[in-house]
Amino acid sequence: MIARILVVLVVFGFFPIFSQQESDYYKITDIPIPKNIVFEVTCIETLPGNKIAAGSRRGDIYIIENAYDDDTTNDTWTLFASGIHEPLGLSYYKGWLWCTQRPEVTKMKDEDGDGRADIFECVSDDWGISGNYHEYAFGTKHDKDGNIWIVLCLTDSAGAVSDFRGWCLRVTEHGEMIPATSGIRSPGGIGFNHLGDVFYSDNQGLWNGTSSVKHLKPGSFQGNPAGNKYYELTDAIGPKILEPNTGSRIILERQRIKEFVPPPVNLPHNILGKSPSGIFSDTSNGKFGPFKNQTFVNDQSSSMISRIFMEKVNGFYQGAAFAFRRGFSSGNVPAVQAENGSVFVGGTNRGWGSTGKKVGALERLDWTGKVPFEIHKMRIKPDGFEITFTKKADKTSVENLVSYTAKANTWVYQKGYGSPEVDIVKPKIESVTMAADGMSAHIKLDKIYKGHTYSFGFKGIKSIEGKSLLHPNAYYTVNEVFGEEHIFDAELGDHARSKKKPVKEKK
Amino acid sequence: MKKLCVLLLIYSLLPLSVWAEKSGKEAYEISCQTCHGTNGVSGKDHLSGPNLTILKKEYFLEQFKAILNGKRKGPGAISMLKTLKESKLSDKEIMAAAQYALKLPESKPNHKNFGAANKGKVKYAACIHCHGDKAQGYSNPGLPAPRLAGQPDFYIVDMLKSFKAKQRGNDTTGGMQMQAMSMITEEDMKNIAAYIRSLEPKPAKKQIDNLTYRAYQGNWNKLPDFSKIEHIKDGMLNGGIIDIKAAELKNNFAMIFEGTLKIPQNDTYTFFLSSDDGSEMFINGKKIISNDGIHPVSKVHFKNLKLKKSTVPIKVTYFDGGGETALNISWRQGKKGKNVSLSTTGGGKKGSSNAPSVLLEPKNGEAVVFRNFMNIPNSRSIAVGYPEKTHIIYNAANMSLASFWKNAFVDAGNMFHSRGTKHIFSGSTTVKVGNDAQFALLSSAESIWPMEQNRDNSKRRVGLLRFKGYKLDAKRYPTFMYTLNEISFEDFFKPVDSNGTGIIRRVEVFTPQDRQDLWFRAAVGYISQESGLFNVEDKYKIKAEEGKLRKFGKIQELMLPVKFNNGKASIKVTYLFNESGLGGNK
Repeated sequence: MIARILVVLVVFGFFPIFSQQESDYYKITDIPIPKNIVFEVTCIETLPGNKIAAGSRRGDIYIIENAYDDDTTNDTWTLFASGIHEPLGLSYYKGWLWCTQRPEVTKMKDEDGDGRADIFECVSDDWGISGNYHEYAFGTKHDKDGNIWIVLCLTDSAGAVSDFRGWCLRVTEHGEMIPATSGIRSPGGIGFNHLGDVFYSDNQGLWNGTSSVKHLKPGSFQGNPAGNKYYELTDAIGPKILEPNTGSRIILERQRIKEFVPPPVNLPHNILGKSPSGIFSDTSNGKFGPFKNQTFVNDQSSSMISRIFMEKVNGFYQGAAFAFRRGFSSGNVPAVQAENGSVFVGGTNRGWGSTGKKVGALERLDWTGKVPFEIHKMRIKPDGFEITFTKKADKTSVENLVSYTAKANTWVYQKGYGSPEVDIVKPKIESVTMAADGMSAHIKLDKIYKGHTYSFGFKGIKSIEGKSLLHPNAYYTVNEVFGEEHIFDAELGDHARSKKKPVKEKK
Repeated sequence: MKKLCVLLLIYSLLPLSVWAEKSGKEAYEISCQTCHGTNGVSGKDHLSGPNLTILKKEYFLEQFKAILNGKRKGPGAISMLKTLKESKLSDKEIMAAAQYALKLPESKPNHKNFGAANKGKVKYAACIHCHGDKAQGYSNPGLPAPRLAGQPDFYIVDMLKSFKAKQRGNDTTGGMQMQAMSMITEEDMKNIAAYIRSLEPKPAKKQIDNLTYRAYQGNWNKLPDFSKIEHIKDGMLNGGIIDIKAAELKNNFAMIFEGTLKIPQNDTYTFFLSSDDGSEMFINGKKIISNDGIHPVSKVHFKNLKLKKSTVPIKVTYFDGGGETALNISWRQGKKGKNVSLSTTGGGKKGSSNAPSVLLEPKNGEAVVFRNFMNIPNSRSIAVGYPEKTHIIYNAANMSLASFWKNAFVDAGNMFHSRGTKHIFSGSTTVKVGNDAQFALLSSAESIWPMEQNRDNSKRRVGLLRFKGYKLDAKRYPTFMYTLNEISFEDFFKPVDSNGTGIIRRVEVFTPQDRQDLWFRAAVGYISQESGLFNVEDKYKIKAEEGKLRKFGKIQELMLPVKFNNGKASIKVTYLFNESGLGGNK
């Protein structure tokens, strides 16, 4: 019986994997953690001289040499600092290593040259902490103006009992703290896109129907109102916003709350992971493969990276998410790209379990030089979507509607925990037309619902070499449209009215 | 005044509550008892409603309201609504019945005993996030979910069916989450119910006969000589289970438990013991396990004994020197027998909920700095372990010496375990000094110390006292840096010696312009001056040459003026352990 199951698995399950796998294109190299330490990686930074710095939940920061090569035996680990309070961000800037830890931003330096930091300057400790374990502070590297951006997790990931919980703050290099946005719930990481705009990942939960990557546009509201009381403490981003209505939809609440910046990319729960964390963008100009300037997001529980292509429509970021690389050996938290294109990924699986079972891991992801057949970019058009390929596609398979599946849905926007997929519609694909060069195709739909996330399956699409897409699914979040506006009407179902007027203010 | 208010409150509520309770009981008997039973668990057929006695008040009332409003459409809810309507009770009486039900003591449910727990365990994985691994409920603060362990198995199945049929929970957050369970079959439901049934907390069976306890109070760092101290409390433990809670003391106490143990047959028996802090175990008058000293609960000691069928005396001694408390004792017959608990706080087996210890210690003659949540509520605390084995917690919100202690530095186990939800506590020799800011500008020597200068950690920083970090010297001893307006401070600590005498604090102060209004407050409390030292509440002593006591109500403040000379000043104080306070044997 077992043998028969195995045969079936091999034939139907494993065979396609044998033919093409993620590791053919992106290779994971372990950077072994010395045996005598427990290292649960929560932050990474690249340093001059081909060194990297990595910090752990237990408060140690090591400087690691020879982590860029494939020889796992020549690495040297030097303890640079210890006793840091759960560091969740590192930045090498102006000769100092800057660290975002629970209570403050600290910059540290080795002044006597023994390889260990001996001065730890508090840059800013202006936000509150109550002593609750969930009050994490994730920080970026410095932006081009010298600021570190910090997202402060809610107390117990639900409430706000200490100042600026649920806010994004900027800390200048001189220690001034400037509130940037409200509406944060439970971040897992924060990073920049290639233009320097700031994004963070927020986890499914209260007011988050599913996990997502959000754009920290200064002055914006990100969706969770628990921290709205702190508008009283600052006029940096204007007066207190309207309270959102629970049980609503983001697309409807956006019409009431003008500061609401919707998540550019929703990550369907349990499909593209369920605990998004670190964010980086490929700014290596081709050294990391064909996805120049695209953004990537780690997932802690699924030990994977998803890829995100974003575009700006009517001033708002939106775009598509794709699975990218699975198989990391702990629960991914930070991910940082080095100048040579290599990406360093760190992980921990303590307290929140992960597919990768190691207690902690530090790994490097490199492009092998081979280009996978993938959806390269996905853009919204007035009447549908345009997909581009990384390699020439086969016209017959592209234009055959049988190659496609499509579903669209949204999530309840509510004070409760998460949401099932709701307002599900089955978009009708009217036609697909491939461009003459074989590198892109136009998918024409009957209509596009603003506020819905479109899940496409492209299982039938083949490259001219006859290969299937390495990752045949795409999830595009439509916050804005070019053409006629359709908003799903729960009462009418999939027969919505066009150009729906904004909902009247509820008292 | 406060007492008076309380009395008034009691008298004003008394007639009302007596009336409500009586009426509540009557109303309950009329309308609820048929299905929920006299004890709140089960009715006459033993197979009807839920176990009301394990529900939290908010959840109970929320569901009660949902049923009264017709939001719950399961057969049980509908029949309850019908019964209540037909009972002709007033709303007030119905509420009184509910209040009566809420006060019923926890009772065990009746089960139908169907399903396979092992199969249910797999399916229950989907429930753990909110209902908890022991089905204890409320394990996700974002999404409160009720306790399930203790509910009748048939009721669990009825409710899963109800959720599946969308008869309940369509409009609540928790209910929405329960939709995830709508995919499962009735067999799955029974298996899940069986697994939940298996998680029911089992009351410990009486193990020790004639069990007595004596409790003592004092400060010790090892088990005291019980023959030389007087107990403050004693009594019988009729349940036959050793329980340190019988002392009714939170910290700094010792206990002796004595009783007899029935040895069922000639065999080898293994005794297990673990505790926080020290303990010893005696069988037949002989010490079989010694686990003395200050330590966390992590290590489980055991001893194998060949015993004849008989009745043997058992004695356990225990003390707590501060921080967390635990005493876990169990025994086992033969090699394959079941581990049976002899105490309330677990069986002393591995995998208990206690975090394994992770001991941090200064090494190689260097100090170690450790920032974490230490000794609630110091959320901005910085612990420093010195190689001389006297250690401090520095409060980086108010730049104060929060506490100092000696011997072992820090067990970070709590923080390095699971999500790290529990704070870390310093050792039992900890002397608490204070969390108030210690430097302030006073307009006169009599000015009241400005408590408003203190920073509440949960608030943003608004005060002018600003933490600037720390620098480490060659032996990695930190100097803390901070500013107050344009005045800057360098704050350095060093143990007096390696014998646990105390800690010296030296603060260098810098100002652009000499001034006389800066003061250092070394301590506040009942302070007396004796033989050149300041005795702070018999807890610790301070040596401060420039120190002067000033009265503050009934207590004293130990004040030191900061005397600048060419923009510089220096403050030196020594905090000394109060040895007499640590010896116990009062």
